[in-house]
Amino acid sequence: MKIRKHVQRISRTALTFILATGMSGTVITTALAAEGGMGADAIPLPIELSPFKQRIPENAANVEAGRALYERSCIWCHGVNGEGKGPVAYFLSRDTAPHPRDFTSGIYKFRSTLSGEMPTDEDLFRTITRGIPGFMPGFRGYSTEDRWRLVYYIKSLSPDFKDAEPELIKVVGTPIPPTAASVQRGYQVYQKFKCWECHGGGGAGNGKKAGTLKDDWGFRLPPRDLRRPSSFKNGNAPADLYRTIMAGLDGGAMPSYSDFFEGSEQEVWDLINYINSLAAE
Amino acid sequence: MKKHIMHIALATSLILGLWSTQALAYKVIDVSNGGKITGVISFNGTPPANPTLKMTKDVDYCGATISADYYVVNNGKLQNVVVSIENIDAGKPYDKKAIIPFDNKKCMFSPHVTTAVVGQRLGVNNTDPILHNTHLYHGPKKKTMYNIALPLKDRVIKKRMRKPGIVTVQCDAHEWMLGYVYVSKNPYATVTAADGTFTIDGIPPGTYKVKIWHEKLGEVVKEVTVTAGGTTTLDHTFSQ
Repeated sequence: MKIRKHVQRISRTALTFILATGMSGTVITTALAAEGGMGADAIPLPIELSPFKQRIPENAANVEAGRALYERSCIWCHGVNGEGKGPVAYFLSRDTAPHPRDFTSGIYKFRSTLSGEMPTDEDLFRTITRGIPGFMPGFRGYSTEDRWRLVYYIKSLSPDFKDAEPELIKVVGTPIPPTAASVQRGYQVYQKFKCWECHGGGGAGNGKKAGTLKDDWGFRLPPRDLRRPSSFKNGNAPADLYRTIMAGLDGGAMPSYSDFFEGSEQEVWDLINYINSLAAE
Repeated sequence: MKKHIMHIALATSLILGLWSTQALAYKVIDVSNGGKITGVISFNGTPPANPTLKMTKDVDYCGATISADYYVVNNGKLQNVVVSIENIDAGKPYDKKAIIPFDNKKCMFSPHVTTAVVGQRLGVNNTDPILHNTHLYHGPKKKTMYNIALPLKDRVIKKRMRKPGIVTVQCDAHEWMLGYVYVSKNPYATVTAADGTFTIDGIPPGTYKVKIWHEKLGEVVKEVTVTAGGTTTLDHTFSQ
């Protein structure tokens, strides 16, 4: 029983790792080794470099310190109260999505959790670290500790985080090599699951349903042009795409596909290879 | 003015929603001599015309236009009105594992309005050969509950209704699609039929607050007394 629990803990750590970092299978194996899950001869990863290992306690002092950081860097877009109505917000986007996140709404696009669930702390940490292409700068310049402080402060802005135990999306398999056969299979999945109806036959974001899509706040939100991986807001590594497809982007129009891939999750990795094959940049 | 009433209705449901989360969970008890509430919900006068929804996509399948189903009135009787007893903490048993059907059919939701008890699951289906997504929003603030893709025909996706209140259902892919699920705290909620009638049975004797809700006409709350084995009539007439 104890061993089983231990294994569960390790796989959860690995899962968090793949979802949070978008790293490949090899790295995960190494991470597993560092967790003590593999044989002694496995090469250990300098795990102290992992931001998740440098986690600091979520307490009042850190929330308060997070507020100070927020008021220095985030307030301009996300506003004094976290409602996404800072003085600069208007200049970012007037009539189109996304507007800066309203942290009081409890709705988050970038999650490794099922649709309708809150994001994990690691999800928030990842977005703060990386930023969002074209919209939000990354805050790698802040120390790991400070980024955790920001996570805790942002969580304090919505009551939905209280006692939230979000259910994670199911991750089966790891990224597979983009062979011609895999890309071909991915193309079939793209057709079968009708990705093209929004994203277009060639992935240009010009599918027949593209024109009217809006986000939860009523702002126009065109589907992503899949030929531009650098513009993928939730990241463009295979693990990032896996998250986007399975979790959906709550608050936007992209729905969760986790129910439809149940039992055939391997197909997602093929689909990801197909999407990557569309890249034209 | 109508908007004002809607706001009041929304605020009321929010307050009820908040209150409900603190109320005790529903308890199943033996209701051997329960009473019944039955009645007819009507609409007085000429109902407002349903707008004609212009299909902006999938015209080949959906057709060019569809008439909206906001007001379904037959001979003055109003369909799709939710009737629910709000304050019953203990009462008749119900099927907790029941799957409440909710279909994407001919580019509309079918049924347009339905009810589920907290904890029951909505079985969302797509009987159309085109991509739908079913986007459920909870409460007056319309917080996303689920946004699920339905790319394949006839595959039912089951989603649990965790919180009481009005759930608005939309499809991002077809912006005209609109439906409602009223999630009740107890099994004493129903929707009026095409002839405006409804029946709620198995009610322990007592005096209750009964909510009558229509998506466009707002809600009224009436006090109703139910006697052991008796039938209480509850009629209501909405007007514009």
